[in-house]
Amino acid sequence: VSHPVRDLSDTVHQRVRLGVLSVLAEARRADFVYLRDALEVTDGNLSKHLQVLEAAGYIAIEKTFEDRRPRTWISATKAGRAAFVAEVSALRALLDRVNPEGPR
Amino acid sequence: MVSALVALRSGGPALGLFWVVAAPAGSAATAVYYRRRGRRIGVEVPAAPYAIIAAALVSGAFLTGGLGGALGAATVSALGPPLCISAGYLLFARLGHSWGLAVVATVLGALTVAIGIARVPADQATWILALVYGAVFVGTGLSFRASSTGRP
Repeated sequence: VSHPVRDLSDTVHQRVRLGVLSVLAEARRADFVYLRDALEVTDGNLSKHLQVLEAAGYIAIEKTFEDRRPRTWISATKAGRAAFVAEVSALRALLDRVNPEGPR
Repeated sequence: MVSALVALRSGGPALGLFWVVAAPAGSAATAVYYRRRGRRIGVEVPAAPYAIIAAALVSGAFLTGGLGGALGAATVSALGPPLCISAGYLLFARLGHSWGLAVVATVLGALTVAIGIARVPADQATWILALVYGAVFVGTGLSFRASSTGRP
C-alpha cells in the first residue's frame, strides 16, 4: 500500500529549500539577501541549499552588479515550480490521510 | 480625490474623460513604483496578474459608466465604476495576501451599495464616492508605505 510520504521529495522537503521554492513560487525572482532574511538563515547555510537546488535544476542563479555592488538574483525554473507544486500536493495528501476530517 | 472635484464641478461625463487620462497614467505610475520597490527590497513579483486585474478594473469601470450613460441609468453610471474598483482591489488583495487591503475594498464596496440603497441622487453619489475612494486609497497607500519602510 502506497503511503503519501513516499511522494515527498528529499531535495525539496528540507526546510530552507522548501522555503526558497515557496518564496520563488510567488515571485519572478528574489535576491540572496531577501531570501536569507526571510528564511532567517546564515549566508553559508543558504548558499549550501541554493547549490543543492541549482544542481537539481530547480533554480537559476544570476549574479549581477548594481551600483558597482554584486547582487545575486535567484529564480525558480519550470522544473522547480513543478517540484514545489508536487511537494505541496504530497503534503496535502499526507494531511488528508492523518487528519481526514480536516482542521479541528 | 481630484476626480471628486471634477465630478462636483463638471459632472459625470467630464469625470469619464478625466479617468481616460488618469487611469492609464495612474496604472503606469503604480507599476513603476512597484517595480522599483521590488528591486530595492530584493523580490520581484510577476506583473502580468496585476496588469490583467488593472485592465479588467478600468474596462469594467468605463463599461458600467458608459452603459449607464447610454441607457439613461444614472445610478448605474454612479455606482458601477466604484463597485468595479472595489472588486478589482479585492482581487489585488487576494493576489498580494493583504487582509488590510481586502477589508478596505470590502468596506468601500459595502459603502457603495449602501449609497445605492439609500437612493442618494446620482450626481451627489458620484462626487461623494470619488472623494471617499480617493481619500481612503491615499490613506491606505501611505499607511502601507509607512509600514513597509518604517517611515511615511
